[in-house]
Amino acid sequence: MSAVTTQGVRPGARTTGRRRAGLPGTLRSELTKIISVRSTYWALAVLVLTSVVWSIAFCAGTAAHWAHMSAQSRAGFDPTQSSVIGLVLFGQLVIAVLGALTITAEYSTQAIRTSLTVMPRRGVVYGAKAAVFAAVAVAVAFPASFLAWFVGQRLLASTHAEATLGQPNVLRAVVASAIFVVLCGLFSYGLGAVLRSTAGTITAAYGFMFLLPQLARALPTSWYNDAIRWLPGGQFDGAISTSGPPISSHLFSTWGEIAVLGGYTAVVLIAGALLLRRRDA
Amino acid sequence: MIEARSLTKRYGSTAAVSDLSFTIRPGIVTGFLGPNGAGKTTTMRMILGLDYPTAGTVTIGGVPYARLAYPMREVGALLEARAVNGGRTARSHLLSLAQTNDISRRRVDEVLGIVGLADVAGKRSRGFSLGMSQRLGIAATLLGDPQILMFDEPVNGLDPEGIVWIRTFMRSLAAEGRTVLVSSHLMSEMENTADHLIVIGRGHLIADCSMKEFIARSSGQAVLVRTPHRDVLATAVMAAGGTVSDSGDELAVHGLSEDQVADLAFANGVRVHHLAPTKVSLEQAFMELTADSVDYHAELPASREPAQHSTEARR
Repeated sequence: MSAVTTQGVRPGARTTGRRRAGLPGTLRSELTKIISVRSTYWALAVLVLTSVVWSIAFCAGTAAHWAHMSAQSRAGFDPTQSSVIGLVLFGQLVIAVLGALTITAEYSTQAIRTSLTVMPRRGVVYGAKAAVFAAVAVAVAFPASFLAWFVGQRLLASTHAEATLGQPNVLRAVVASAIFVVLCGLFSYGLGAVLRSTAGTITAAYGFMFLLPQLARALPTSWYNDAIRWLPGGQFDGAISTSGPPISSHLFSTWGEIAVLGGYTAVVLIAGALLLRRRDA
Repeated sequence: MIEARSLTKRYGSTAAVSDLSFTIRPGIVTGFLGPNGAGKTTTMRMILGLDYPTAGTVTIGGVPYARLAYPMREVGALLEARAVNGGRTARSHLLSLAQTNDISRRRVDEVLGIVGLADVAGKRSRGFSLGMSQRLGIAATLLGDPQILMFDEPVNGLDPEGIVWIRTFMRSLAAEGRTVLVSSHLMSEMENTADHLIVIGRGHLIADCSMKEFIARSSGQAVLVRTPHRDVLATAVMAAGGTVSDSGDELAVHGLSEDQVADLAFANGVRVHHLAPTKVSLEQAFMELTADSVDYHAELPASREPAQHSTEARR
């Protein structure tokens, strides 16, 4: 019987050693996938553009009004936060779409079945997708953050209020903004693996990151102050403040807020992995 | 070689596939037949490890699909030709698949040539016709030069030229000694393509036999005789163990070969104007065998169906 059952499998095709389809090939495959569709470039271009345009609008506007601003508002002006807040606010929207699409586009076209047929080890597919997406997000979010910051400071030069990277908390804010965007993307990716629908995932991701902190405002103030630091993306603008007290003194530190979002992201990513492995494709 | 043993898939209380056992052998085209909703696609997904069986096992050359070292080098499967991201070019799509199994770029161009898509390799597949999508899907199955090929409804929606191309292609794959499994609900197509049939209805195995056997099983197999002495011949046929029925101006004889019927006529001095075996199509044989297992029935005009079939179906 054993002679019969091995029939149809060519010698060498089934290997007993280490050689088998694995992570390196799947990483290459996922990279090919993400760079071979236009939507990736569109999304990333929008991400960079909105960040920079926001920085230009905010910083150029402030520079133009600087002469008429009160000493108090001048003191309260945060040149770093003002230049990277566009990346944080709009970047999370764009990256959430891209993160979701990385996996939900395969569900909507049913291409996920092909992906899992050519690489039946689902954890490898899932991990490779996440890794390639994260790499692309990092490669775009960091330059976008620094670019927005530099452009903003350049426009603020006339005010002499511009920040330098050497000042306290400035580099931290620029880097944290980029990390925030990357984490939002991964959060949305994990959510996509759980929900398997583009519309559903984007709605849920926006709900978590945008709507939840807004809804929390309905809570009694003392509850809100206790809760806000625990919400994903809740008042992240406060966490990247460099001058004066944060907008809300009830937040953890910048890295603390990154860690909170990182924690939610990890939970969602793990849930996505478990469901992908357990469910029928 | 694909082996299923007591394969079962339940969704809640409904069984999509029940206790299915079969072996799909190399060197021939095996047709996987069943009405819509019979469980063909579910079965194919279980073969590929996409859906997990509720019970039972299915193996590829003795190994569960998920444990194959290089799946594409052993099995090429096309479930749904349109299941590609239309924004990707044909070449990028194939390359992304090839890379997972460490298959070279050169092979991508090779298979594009084999299926005749070399000229549109750099075009986004969104603009492809169904026939071209089908070819792209087949190109993907060939990337790893696998010994086992599976196609789910490959001729659906194709024009005649595309159908002939796929048919010829599948036959040549089998002729090379490969295992070819093709599902379809189009009987006329299967009749021209498959050597062996696995027929399922409502998730149950109905038949696992050669095409010839399957058709021979059908009660529609008959010898039609036109004769002025109908009653004499009918009596003789029944005495010889056959049965008769009316078929227009001819007598339909069941259970006897045309030689036997001709000999009976000669022995009984019956003049015969015309005598011919009916060719039962796979379609007729299939309708008869699966009459009880079709999920959604439509009323057929009585005249469209041969008399004994309609009585059979209503029984």
